[in-house]
Amino acid sequence: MLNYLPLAALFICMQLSGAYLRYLPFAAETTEGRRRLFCRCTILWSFLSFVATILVLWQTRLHPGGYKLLVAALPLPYFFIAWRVLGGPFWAHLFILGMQYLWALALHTVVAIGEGLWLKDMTDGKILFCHPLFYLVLFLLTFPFAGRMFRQLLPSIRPFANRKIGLTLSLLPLSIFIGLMLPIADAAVLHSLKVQLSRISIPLFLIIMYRSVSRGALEADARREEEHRQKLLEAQAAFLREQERLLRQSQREADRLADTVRNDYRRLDGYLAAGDMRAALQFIESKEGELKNSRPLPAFTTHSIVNAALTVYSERAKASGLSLRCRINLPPRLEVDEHEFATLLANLLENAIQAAAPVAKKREITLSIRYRGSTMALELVNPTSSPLLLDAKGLPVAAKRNHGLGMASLSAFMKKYDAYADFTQEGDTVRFLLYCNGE
Amino acid sequence: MGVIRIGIVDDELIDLVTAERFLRQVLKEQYPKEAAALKIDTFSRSEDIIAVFEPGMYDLLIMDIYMTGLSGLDAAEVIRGRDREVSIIFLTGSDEHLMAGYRVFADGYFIKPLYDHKEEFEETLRYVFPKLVERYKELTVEMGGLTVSIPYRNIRYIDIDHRHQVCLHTAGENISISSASYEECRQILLADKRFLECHHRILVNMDAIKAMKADDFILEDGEKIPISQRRKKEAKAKYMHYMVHR
Repeated sequence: MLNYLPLAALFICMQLSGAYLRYLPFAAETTEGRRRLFCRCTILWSFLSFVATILVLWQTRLHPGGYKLLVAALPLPYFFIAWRVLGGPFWAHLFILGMQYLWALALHTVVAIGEGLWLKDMTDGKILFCHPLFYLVLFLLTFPFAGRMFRQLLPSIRPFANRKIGLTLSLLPLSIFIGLMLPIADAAVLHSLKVQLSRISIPLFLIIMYRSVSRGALEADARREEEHRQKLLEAQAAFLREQERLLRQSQREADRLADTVRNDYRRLDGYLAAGDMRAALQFIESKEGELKNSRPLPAFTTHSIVNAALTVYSERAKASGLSLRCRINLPPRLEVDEHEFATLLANLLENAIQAAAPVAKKREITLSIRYRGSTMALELVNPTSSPLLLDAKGLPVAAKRNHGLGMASLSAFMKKYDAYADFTQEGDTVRFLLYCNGE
Repeated sequence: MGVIRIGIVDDELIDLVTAERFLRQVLKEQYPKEAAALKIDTFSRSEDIIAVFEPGMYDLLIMDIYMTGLSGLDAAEVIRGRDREVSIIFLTGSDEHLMAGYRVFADGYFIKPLYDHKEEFEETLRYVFPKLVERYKELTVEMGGLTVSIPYRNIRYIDIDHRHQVCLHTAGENISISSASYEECRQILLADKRFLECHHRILVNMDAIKAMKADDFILEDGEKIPISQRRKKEAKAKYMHYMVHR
């Protein structure tokens, strides 16, 4: 049994290399605490599976069928550990598992081709013993390429936002792997060169195609982000101009009111001097009605740019027949950049107004912001007539082309300030919550 | 039940007296038990209350918006900077300053003259007063044959200790209770909106949370309370909602 110790150790190293590749797509989003927990669970499981591997290899006396089954089945517990500990949607982990299986199959096949060419005089037992070592060497040699590829592997394309379609698409690499594995699930150690070459071509083709497509998608995303940034700046300039217009309008209104008040004082003075109390009281009553209808621009907050955004969108909501209720409590000094925050609010409110506009009932949007120390929480509630589709990051997917400006700005804001956002839909109401810790 | 302390600030003597009389009358009618344990202080200038105000001094402040000298709104900003818990209601001649009032997260406003707007006064009080009473809620437990009441606001979190007993982590000490099960405490405390079960057998008082991180809540004293992976979305959403609406 102890003879299988080195082989079992190499098996575990193979599994750990695969587990590491499968961790890379999630690495950027994983917290330190989750990373440590993932490492602990992986190492613990590796000890247990090391013992199990020795037993299986010893019991099967290094039978090629049992050997291949071990290679295929051992990654599965690591997959479950990654899914439970790292979090993220199940379809994403399934997709990554399938792609890693295909990459591993490609490496195993290249090693097998080499063994067929240069080690064909060796016994099957010795080949099986050396195979994991050659695999690991090839893994290390190809890691710079594989590491880069796996880091960018997770797609953020819209089809995955739909659960059924997402799950189906994520099963594609796994089903190709199973299709390629079934014909070689036998007792042969090495197959013919023709079979090996055909086995390697499909996964390599899929990986290269996927890489080209996702690179193209990333470039398209980068272009869209740049366009969004431009639009954000334009939107910001637009609402500042609108705020300026509203302020000028308000100023003209205030000047007109001042003139009116002066005239009214003169008239009232005249009534009082003539002793006509009845006329004076009637006049005052008529003026009270006028005053009630004259409202200054609301001051939501002392931060002028944020106030500009809220004022503009309050007017836009009114123009769409919606009411915007705001409860804004911001600290005297914002922990985030005021321009970015105002732009974010503008985009969120724009989305909320667009979603609420077609709704016949409950035509009210509420925005509440509250801070506590250096932390801030925001809640935006609006009615909607369409279902909310969320992508892998939990952000809404744009329903139309050239939309999604708000989510791009939210995504950038969350990344910069390590903020947390949550979208939920209950019936015809969407609730958005945002938390920002200024520290 | 503790004494409920209310401060009224108005530079018009008649409005000040009216507000106090009105408040006592309505509370006596609607909350007779709490009205018996009521202490009301009056101030004729914002500067006077700012000079003496300390955190926890009042449960509710009723402040006129327009006063000579420092306005009620500006005074409320200073007070809110010192005490984020105190409820604030503004006294105003119209509702056009409501928006500005939310800058200090005012709980509402009373429109003057109060006797002409009694219904709105009672409605605002019905919204605000139960929140004040809630602050004095207590958890009653049996400990060593004695009945002990622990104010909810002193409980930072509850979990199970190494002897599988319920452990109350309060501001001053950790108290183990053998007479109550976690499930019993859970049912009582989850009925109060302050408490959240963020992990298996851990109930945290959201008022004691200083910050929310990716996987933990950080309490005021720096202690970390883990958030379970399974409950993460729900727990974080509840905390954010509570933070906005507390």
